[in-house]
Amino acid sequence: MKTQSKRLEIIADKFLKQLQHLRTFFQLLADELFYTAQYLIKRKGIYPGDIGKQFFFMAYKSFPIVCLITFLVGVTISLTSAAQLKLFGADIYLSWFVGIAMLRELVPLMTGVILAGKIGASVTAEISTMKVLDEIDALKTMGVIPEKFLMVPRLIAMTLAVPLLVAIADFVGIFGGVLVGRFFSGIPAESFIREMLNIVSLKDFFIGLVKTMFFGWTIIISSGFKGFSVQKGAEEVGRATTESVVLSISLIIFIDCIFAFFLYF
Amino acid sequence: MEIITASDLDVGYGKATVLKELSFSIPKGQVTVMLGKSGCGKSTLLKTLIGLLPPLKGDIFFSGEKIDFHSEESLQSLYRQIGVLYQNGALLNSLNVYENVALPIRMRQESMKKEEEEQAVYQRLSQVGLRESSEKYPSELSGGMRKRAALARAMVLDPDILFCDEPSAGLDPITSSGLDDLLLDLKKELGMTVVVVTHELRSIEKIADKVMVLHEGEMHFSGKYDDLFSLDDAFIETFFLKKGRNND
Repeated sequence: MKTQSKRLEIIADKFLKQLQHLRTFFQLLADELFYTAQYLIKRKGIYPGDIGKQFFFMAYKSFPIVCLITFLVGVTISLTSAAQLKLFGADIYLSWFVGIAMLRELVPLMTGVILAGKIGASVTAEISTMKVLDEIDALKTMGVIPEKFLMVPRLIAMTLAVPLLVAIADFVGIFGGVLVGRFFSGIPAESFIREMLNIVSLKDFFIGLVKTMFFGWTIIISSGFKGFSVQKGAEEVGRATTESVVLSISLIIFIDCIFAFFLYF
Repeated sequence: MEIITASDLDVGYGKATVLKELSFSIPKGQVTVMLGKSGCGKSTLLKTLIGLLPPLKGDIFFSGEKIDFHSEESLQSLYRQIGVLYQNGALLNSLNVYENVALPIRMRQESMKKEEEEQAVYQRLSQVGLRESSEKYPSELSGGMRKRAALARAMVLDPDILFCDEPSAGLDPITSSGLDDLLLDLKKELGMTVVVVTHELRSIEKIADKVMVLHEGEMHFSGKYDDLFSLDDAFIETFFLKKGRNND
């Protein structure tokens, strides 16, 4: 009986701890929304030039890997669907499928996952290391709000970087589909594009863009949440970095699912 | 005259009290040293005095004003009056030495002109002997240089009081002595109040006007450095004797 009540106590403790984490996460989210709005109005509280620096890191440095991955995903998904469509003699519809899938789903999802691995991990590692080395405390005693100083430039940089990355990734991903259409299904590039434009509209591009924007913000908040949660020690930095990537990817897929419900249900 | 007074203070983390029922004062324009064995709560008390850790009980008055740890306004007012030198410097690695020292100015005195900023930063860098290294990044500096750069940053806005957490830690005796000289210069030339957390006897002997000894969760001794040795106290004798031997 005693063992059972002990077990229940442990489960209850764990549950309460998770609730506390959830509260801290949403508190950070609310704080960041407030600080970002405050910065946009007052233009104070972040280091001059930091947005540009972060934008360079997020957009320019992520661009090659985003292009490579979305191109490969474009090729893979096109080859898989082309093989199936060929069975029904419906090769031309490959362009419809590639257009919709890339713009609405695959580019946002793949860009989100890449950014979670590249940007999210780096943000968590940086913030948690700063915490361990007392740099966060140093900022506080200088009268600086670390959650604003470190997070707002990253949130704004992400907001600026996402449209560029999505536009390039859409182009490259569809280009992968065009190549498969041309060399595997014998569809000329012109016909592929013309057919695709019959079904794909600007709305699809914007749906993908809005989704990726949400994913980007989620990545920054999750990374900050994990980074600031570190107390002491290099070991915790590694743990927080791994957890931040897992949390970001899980939340990205969860948000994507919510979008799918709103769009198709 | 006292710049900080604390009454009936308990400090610690969560439910764990590290130091209890502390009542003390820190005199203006003097060097006060907090010392004690490792893990006795020196750094915890320092964290409370610089506004990072709310006390579990009791009050702290800074220049007569009570610090309200739940009011952002009260804490910001405290931060405006203090400078802190952290144990490992805590310089931001993404900024060079000049930018690190200029950071408090850029964040708190945004109206300051570029020329004024340069004058203030280079003056402090010259004082700590790092003017020539202003373009270097923290990763390119030695431990002693990092501490001096951090000291320049802590002093750049002319705080009323400078807190130093283990300034000699990890430094060779010559560099450590140089840092002590800098702290004494600040006291003599600017009349700055300095609070140092350390257990380096050479430093204590050189710089301390007042000493606060923490032991077994309590304030064991608080008074003038010269009075320390007139006490017939087993712990202080053992502490100084053993530390003295280690230092030799």
